[in-house]
Order: sequence, then C-alpha cells, then structure tokens
Amino acid sequence: MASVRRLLGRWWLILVCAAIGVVMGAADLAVNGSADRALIDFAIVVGYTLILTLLQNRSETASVLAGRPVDERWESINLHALAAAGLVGAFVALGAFVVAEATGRDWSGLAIVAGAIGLAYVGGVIWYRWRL
Amino acid sequence: MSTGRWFSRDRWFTAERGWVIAAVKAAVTVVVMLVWHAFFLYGLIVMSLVGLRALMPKSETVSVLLGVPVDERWESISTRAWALAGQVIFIGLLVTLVAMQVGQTQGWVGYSTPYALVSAALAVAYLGGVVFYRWRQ
Repeated sequence: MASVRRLLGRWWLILVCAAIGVVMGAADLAVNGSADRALIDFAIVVGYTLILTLLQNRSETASVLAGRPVDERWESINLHALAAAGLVGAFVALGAFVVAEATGRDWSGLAIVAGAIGLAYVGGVIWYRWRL
Repeated sequence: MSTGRWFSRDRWFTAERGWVIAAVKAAVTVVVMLVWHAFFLYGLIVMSLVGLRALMPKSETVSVLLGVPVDERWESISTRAWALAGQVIFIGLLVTLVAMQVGQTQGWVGYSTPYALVSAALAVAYLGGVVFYRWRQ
C-alpha cells in the first residue's frame, strides 16, 4: 500500500476513490438506469476525496483522514482511531447479530462480518507478535 | 368433574381442560428449544472463553485475545491488530457493497443492510476516534 502511495504521489487517494466512484456509479446506472443517481454516487466519493486532498496541507486532521499523517503523534492518533473503529465494528456486528437472531431475521451477513473481524484481529495479533 | 385430589388424572385430563395440557406442553417445548438453541449458539462461545481464561496465565497471546495485554509491547500488538482488523473489514465491506450493487444487475438478490450498517459504524467510529484522540493526545 505504501509503495502504491509513493508511486502515485499525492494523487493516489483521488485516483483510488475516482475508480471506486466510477464502479459505484456504473453499478447504480446499470441497476436503476438513472444517470443522475450514478452521477451523485460518483460526485459524493470524488468530492469528499477532493476536499480532503485540498485541505491536507492546511489541516492535520484532513491529512490523517487522507491517509497521510504528518508526524508520529498523528500516526498514533490514526492507529488508535482505527483500532477503536475495529472494536466498535466488532461490537456492532455482534450486537446486530444477536438482535437479528432474537427477532428471527437473516443473520448470515452479520455472522460473516463478525467472523471476518475476529479472524482479521487474531491474524493481526499473530502477525504483529512475529513482527514487533 | 372430579372433586378429589388437586392433581388427579380425572381432574386435568378431560376434553374441557385439554387446552391447559396443550399450553403447558407448548411452553415446555418452547423453553427446551430456546435453551437448546442458546446452548449451541452461545454456550460454545462461553466455553471457549472459559477455556481461554484457563490458558491466560500461561500464554501472553491468550491474554491479549481476552483483552488483558501483559505489557506495553502486547498493548501495541493489540492496538495494531485492531487497527488492521478495522482496515481489512472496512475495505472488505466496501468491496462487498459494490459487488452486491453490481450483482443486482445480474439478477442476484442480496440483503446489503448488515454490510451498510457495519460500514457506517466503522466510519463514524473512526471519525469519532480521530476527534477523541486528537483531544486526548
């Protein structure tokens, strides 16, 4: 990921998100046949990315959101925020799984997500145990 | 109608009171099924947690998995592992959502709400985390 970022320079985020926006817009166009909706999909993703890219030299928060923390403190903030997000994601997936199970709804998607978070975490522990 | 003992065959096993027997039987069946179902679904999770707890004093890895890192190195490993899990899942969820949207063009019927829900929770938690740790650190 870091080598891709270096290769594409400061445009990597815009290029990656533009590609995501094109896929989302094309899928929406194919499903709903509405060019307006497709354009809105594309505009939301690319607009958000453009704002972050433009602001990243002026705001340290924007630089973190754009994936380019300016120093070690911001790297640490980014790491802790990502860890918190992973933890919250696991709790949300498990909580929603229990609710879906109790109310008789389809819980298979949530089970997949919760399982994937668990596997990624255990894999991360094993990986960083070996690396650190 | 029998006027003898409170629990006697003649008193309860009559056509008029058959609904009482049926209701009790239905309630017992529901309770047994729920307990059985809960045991298989959650009992296994609880048993694995108990097993991990028993192993905790012997293994640093197990102590991290139970949320009790033994020192700063293991705290760092846990934080990085959660960060990795968050990133992997977020990318995975985005790919899944886009794939489901594309799949609908092929006639696939999918239920994307769970993926959207967890994606939104991850995004909000990440933004909240940046704001919170910016203020804390």
